Amino acid sequence: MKNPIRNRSLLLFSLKFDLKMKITVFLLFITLINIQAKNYAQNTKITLDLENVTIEKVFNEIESLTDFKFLFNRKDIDVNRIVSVKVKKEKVRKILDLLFLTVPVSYEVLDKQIILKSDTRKKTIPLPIIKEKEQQKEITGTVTDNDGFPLPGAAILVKGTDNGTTTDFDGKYSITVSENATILVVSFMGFSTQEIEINGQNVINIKLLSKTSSLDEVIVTGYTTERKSDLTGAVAIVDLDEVVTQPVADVNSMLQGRVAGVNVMSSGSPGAVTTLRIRGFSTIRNNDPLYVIDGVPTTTGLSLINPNDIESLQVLKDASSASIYGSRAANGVVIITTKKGKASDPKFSFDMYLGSQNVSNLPDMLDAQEYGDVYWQAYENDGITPNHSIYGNGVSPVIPAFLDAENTIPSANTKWVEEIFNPALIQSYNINFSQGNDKSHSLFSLNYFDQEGILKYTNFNRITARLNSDYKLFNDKVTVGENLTVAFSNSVGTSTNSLLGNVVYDAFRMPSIAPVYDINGEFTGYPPSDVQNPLGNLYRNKDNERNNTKIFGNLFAEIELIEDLKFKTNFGVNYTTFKSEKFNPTFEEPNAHRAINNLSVVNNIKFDWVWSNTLNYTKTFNDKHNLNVLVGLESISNVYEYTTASIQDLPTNELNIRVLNAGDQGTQTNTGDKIEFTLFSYFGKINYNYDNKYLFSATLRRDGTSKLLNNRWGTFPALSAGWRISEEDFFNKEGVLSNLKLRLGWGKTGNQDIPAYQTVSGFSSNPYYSNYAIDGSQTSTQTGYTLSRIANPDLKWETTTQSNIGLEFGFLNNSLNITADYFIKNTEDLLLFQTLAPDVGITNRGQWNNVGEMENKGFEFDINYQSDRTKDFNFNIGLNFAVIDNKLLSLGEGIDFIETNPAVLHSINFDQSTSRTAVGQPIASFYGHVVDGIFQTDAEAASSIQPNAQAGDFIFKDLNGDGIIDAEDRTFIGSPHADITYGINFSAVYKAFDLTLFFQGSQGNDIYDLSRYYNDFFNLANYNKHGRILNAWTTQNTNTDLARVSLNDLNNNIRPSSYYVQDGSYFRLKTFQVGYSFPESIAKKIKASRFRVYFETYNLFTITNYDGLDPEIGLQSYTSDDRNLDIGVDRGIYPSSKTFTFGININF
Amino acid sequence: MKNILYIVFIIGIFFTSCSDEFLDNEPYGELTEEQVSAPENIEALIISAYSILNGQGNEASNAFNSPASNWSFGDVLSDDAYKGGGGTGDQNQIHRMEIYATDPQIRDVEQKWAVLYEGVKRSNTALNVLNNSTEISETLKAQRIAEMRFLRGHFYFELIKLYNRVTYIDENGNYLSNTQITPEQVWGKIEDDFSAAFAVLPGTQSDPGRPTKWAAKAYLCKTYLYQKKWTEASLAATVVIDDGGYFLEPNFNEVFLPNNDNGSEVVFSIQYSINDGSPRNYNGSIGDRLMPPGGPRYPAYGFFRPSQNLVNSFKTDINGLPLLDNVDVTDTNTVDPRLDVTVGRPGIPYKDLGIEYSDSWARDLETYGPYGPKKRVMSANDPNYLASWPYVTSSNYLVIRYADVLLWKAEALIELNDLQGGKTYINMVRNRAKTGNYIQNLDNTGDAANYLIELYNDFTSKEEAITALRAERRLEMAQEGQRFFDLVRWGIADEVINKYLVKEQIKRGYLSGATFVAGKNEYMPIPQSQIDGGGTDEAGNSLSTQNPGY
Repeated sequence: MKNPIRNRSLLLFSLKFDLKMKITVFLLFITLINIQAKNYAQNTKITLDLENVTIEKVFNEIESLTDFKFLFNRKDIDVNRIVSVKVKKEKVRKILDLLFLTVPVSYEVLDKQIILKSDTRKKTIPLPIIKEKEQQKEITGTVTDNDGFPLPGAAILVKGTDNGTTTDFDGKYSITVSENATILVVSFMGFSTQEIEINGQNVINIKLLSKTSSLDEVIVTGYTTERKSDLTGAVAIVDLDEVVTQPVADVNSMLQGRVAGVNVMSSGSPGAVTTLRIRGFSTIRNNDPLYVIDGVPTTTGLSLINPNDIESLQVLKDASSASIYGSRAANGVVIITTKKGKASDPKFSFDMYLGSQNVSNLPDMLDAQEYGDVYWQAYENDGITPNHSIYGNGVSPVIPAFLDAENTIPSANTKWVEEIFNPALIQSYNINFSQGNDKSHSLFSLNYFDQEGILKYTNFNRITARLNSDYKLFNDKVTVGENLTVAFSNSVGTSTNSLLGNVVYDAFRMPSIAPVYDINGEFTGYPPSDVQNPLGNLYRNKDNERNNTKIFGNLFAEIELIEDLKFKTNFGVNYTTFKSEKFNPTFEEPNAHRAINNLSVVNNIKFDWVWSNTLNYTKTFNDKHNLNVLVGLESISNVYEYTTASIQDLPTNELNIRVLNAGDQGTQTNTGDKIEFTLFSYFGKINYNYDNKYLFSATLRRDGTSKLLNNRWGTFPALSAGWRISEEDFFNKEGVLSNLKLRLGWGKTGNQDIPAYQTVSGFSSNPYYSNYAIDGSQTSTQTGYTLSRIANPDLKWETTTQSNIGLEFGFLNNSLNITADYFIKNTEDLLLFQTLAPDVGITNRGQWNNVGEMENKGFEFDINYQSDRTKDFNFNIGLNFAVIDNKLLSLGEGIDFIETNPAVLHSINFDQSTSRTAVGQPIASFYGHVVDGIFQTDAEAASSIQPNAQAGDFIFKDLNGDGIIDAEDRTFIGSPHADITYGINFSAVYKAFDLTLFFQGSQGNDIYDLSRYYNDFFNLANYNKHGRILNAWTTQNTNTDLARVSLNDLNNNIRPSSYYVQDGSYFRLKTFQVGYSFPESIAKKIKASRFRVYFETYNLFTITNYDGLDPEIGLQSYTSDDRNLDIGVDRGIYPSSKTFTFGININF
Repeated sequence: MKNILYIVFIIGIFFTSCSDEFLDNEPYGELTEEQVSAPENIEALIISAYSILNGQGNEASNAFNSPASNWSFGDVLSDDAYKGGGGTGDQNQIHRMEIYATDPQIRDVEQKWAVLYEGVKRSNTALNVLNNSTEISETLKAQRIAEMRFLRGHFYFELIKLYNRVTYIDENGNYLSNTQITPEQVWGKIEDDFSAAFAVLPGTQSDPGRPTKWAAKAYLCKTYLYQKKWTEASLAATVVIDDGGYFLEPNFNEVFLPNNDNGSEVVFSIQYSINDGSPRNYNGSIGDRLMPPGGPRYPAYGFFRPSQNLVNSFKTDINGLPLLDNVDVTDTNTVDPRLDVTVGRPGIPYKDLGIEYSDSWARDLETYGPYGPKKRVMSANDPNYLASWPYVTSSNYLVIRYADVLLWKAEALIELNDLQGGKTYINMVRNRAKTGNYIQNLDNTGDAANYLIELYNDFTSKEEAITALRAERRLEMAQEGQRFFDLVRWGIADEVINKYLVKEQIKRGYLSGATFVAGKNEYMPIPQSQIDGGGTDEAGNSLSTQNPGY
């Protein structure tokens, strides 16, 4: 038996997927046979209905119904304790749990003997004992947690007496109390004890609140779980209940300001990709963190995950916590666990919100007359006699009745930026069914989210369904289950934050004199300019939907092989399809038109699977040595393929004609490609703690990737330790300081995120640059093959080494908690597409290489105070902030800096290089000339080193002192990175009312306002200008920082300079929420256990000096690879909306 | 015990070494270096080398920074054209070039260099594989090698013409930086390539995209001309004229029609195609995609606008000869009929669209004046014009056309003091302009303007002949990316351009500060990235050196 298996296991991966699956099934089968139903007695189920009897009576009853015998010492056990037991077909163990829940007694089941002994470690809670019967009144009810799930075993005590009881498996209780009893005290482990006034009620349902910052909270870390108090790494736990009402699609967006050291980078438009930066930018290319959802790693964004489905979210920030995910953990790991069914009767909840989103802070552009006036000023400054095709040639500009000779375009005074925005509806509906018993749990949820864009004719909507279930088999030795979500989304978006094709930017640029419509009611424009009517553009794009379908989930089985040793196998799938249809209709505007319509269709399929197998051994020796060992392996496969097709000249612009077959077949195109990569990993982790005081953890992971060749394998170790000083005998926990822990961590994580195949050379055909009509044809080409890349077979893993020191303080019985962390993160062997000297050609002008080093150092601080939650008025106040210093230490020999890829620079920046990633500077620092004031007189200008300058022009600093202002005089003129980012949360509850305020901000970051390129300079004369240009330098207005307006701009005032760099600091009231929970008497009428309504505002106000649309600039969306090289450049982004919502939460 | 056994099995899985096979992924859709040397695949490498001729080397839509036609480098930098577009801030780096504030970091300077070296690289790659191939027939192999040497000659010619001091890389990977090889040596290498191509290439090619023997000879002629090797140039031109079988198109305005783009006048052209299945139509005239002049039928990119000076240069005197007074043309002036083929002028019908060009077409009339490009713009009615983005055409860019060769011959003869011989060839070119169709007014009832052109009588001096030759080249070759390089090789760029700037800045204020610096602005700077990233010698100095003045 042994040899064949060994031999086959050697073949494990030679046949990839199929064989591996077979072997697992085989091994599972063997394992299952092994775990035969032994000791059936333990699983015998009995029914008891005993009221107010001694505990001895219960023992006797159990002994009579089963083969069990109780063994105990009478001095340890109070056999006369009066209890009530009402159970139906329950296991004996469960009954014992209940019986001894609140008394210092523990039990052990040895074969058919139940040994009871005194257990002083267990805390004594008031004993639920009825000594004498003076029943005058019976009170019944249910004790649940905050979500309405029953809490079996909660203790209920009449205050001031020892009259008490416990709840049953459904959380129900019944207690007889004397007439003069006034208050019930309800307690349960892990929850705040609560006092309830009886007030003559017969039915009292009680909701217990889980204790904040409970150190016993169990959280999911790498492949396993840990108690929070045992953590040795920097792990942030996000309370999703607080954020889930935010009117945004994506859970990433909800994290802004919530976690110290985590920054959210969004690209604005509904449904667009939002991503996180955890502890700064650790590399140059892809900085996106790894997400692990129910054990399935994924790097694609979360916009298709329903935020309501998330049970818990942890951010693993440092290497010691993240390195178990070694291969892709360098940018941090976000662990998401979705909700599971709980042991209860079927539960149903409904949550919804409905709101209105509004744009605010729109820039004030020049109106039609002002634009003409400034134009005339420019003529005057240049010494030109005014002669304008629209405004005439008089001494002052004249607004004509029509802008064209044919009198079809009436002049207007359009506020274009207001024209393209409108208030928009946002709504979300979520239902959730769950149920379970001790053998199985299931949860089903359905969410519909619909966000209209504040930009007209844009929107995003999404439907997600989830089914999570698990089953216990073979005497609970085996748990199998699945988590599955299916999501569909549909969006109509538009490109923003690029200089070309950006509708927001076009609205900035379109002169106000241009009307929206011509006399025939058609979209029109401004004859001297090429800007398309922005509203027309949005309108023409309104049916260009993009559809995503995502199937994401996992199947798992966990087997307890022997006591304390569990084997878990988890197979996860992420299948995403993307389809977009873009139809560009014919249209005609004065200087922009499309004579032939076209349709292009894109289909992508992304299929990832991951299969992980782990063995986990947990054991406590001698009560003091707690050991947890995990070993595992994981294989990951990732396939991406796409096809595109397009056609032109469809017979009409109607919706129903928009299929590829309808166009001119001579214009058809298609492209397609396929990319695959695989990863294979071994990993192990040991957690050891001695007496819950001294904590140690060691991790080792070894990863192989198909993206590398000669250095395919990387090894990623991590070590960490914690000292719970407050557990020491010398420490007085009852003092002011109630908890104190020191954490130290060190570890390495890896990154191999480069395009596949960079280690092998080959030749490929590319329709953009390798074909040629050698035969002279006007409409066909022959296929050419071009070198695909300059391969580097010696590429290796990029490695990030991170050290972390953390301190956790708890004050006043842990109602005030402070966490402080300092880290140093150093990334070496940066994977960089190294641009080579241009004489290597243009097509592959570079090579992937391991060059350079990046450093992030930072300090994170988190403080939280929770007042006594059992009081009518209670509140929570939290503050977090992070200070992160990013610095590029090296880019390899001979290279001092890199800039945005020229291939994308044209469309996003109009060929302006604004940012430079240079050695010794933070990534993507702004780079340009330094403006050192304005020449106030022509004489001053003439005597300067700027040959063509006049009064009113910028004075540029001659930084190298060579007497010439040229490209060599550029320097670093600002940083997009904040000195400090912070979030402040305040929430309060008064009786049925609750209030939440959440502020968030950033201090010390700069914004490169590239929109000024068109909006502040008259050498792009035919575009509208920003209102601030009215303050441009003139002989009458000399005290200004805006250069004189000039059509010729001989001084080149427009060049990239510090003029564009603005302070981007802001402070924003992100959310403001007031809620009201209806009293149970009202909730009951609709059979609800909880019925809450709330009103919320999102982005209500922002305090900032930045005069653009929105200081939260985020990242470009063009590719995940290049966007880190131009952070914080504003080219007219899709702004954040100010949103007002009304919401309802109901639990049944 | 039994438990432990099974656990051992499972642990067994964990620690069996993973087969690297799981991690070996072959790239999809690629040929390996071995596969590519199969004869049919070598052809694909060769196609790839031709493909880069159009200046498009990646997936970005910015081939206008490295145009095959050299509209920016050859015309905007000369006295013939303005950058145009939406103001001086639009493609500001070309504006910087236009006012001779070019610096080594300018985008176009780097991209043009990189594209030309991509051509060198693709030619060398094909040459290398061809040289090592044993499967391909000897005749075909020799011919393909000759084609690749022709292409390599072309790319180096472009490089040396623009940058003068260039890197030289051969098919075996030998690398000589511009401090290790002189321009004279590079010229020698270019001559070698064209000579070798001439020796092997056939007189006709069934694929018109491939160079013929005569194309190689013509290019060799141009190479001599640029080195002022007048005798060799004259001889080479004679071979092309006598044996090449080329004819001038009868009508000047038909030279640039798609139907004639491999016609009797075309010696070597870059093949363009549209609607050929390429997703963005980058195989069309992608480097010229900013050229459409605006108005009701074209998008208003509005770049590449003819200068007033150029328009004035078409004015003729009462004898129908160029009147070089640079006074603005009026309606009563007589003009060379080629003017309205070359330049979109207000009031003159534009192509066959049935409408007149108007100054309202101009995107930024205030800055760049009323004129629009016309010569190499296709009629919007022509199916070879793509009426959707990127608005390119399939009409080839003519690298060498027969009129060019005739004028080379004339120039060589004049320089060799054969003034009458020179006159003959100049007049061959003028005669076509004279006898061909003239642009008609909208009603088709007469000439659109006051056209007058006559042939030259005998030149009385070499100076007069040279003036006539140079004027003729300007008129005939205007807007074809030649003018600036002609001015430079004639050694008169400094004089002509500075004179132009003084006059032109009255109309075009943005030229006010511009000065052409002799000894500097004749050549582009070497891209800074080449100097910084092109390696260092043992002493740590850059292997590449900057051109003078930058």
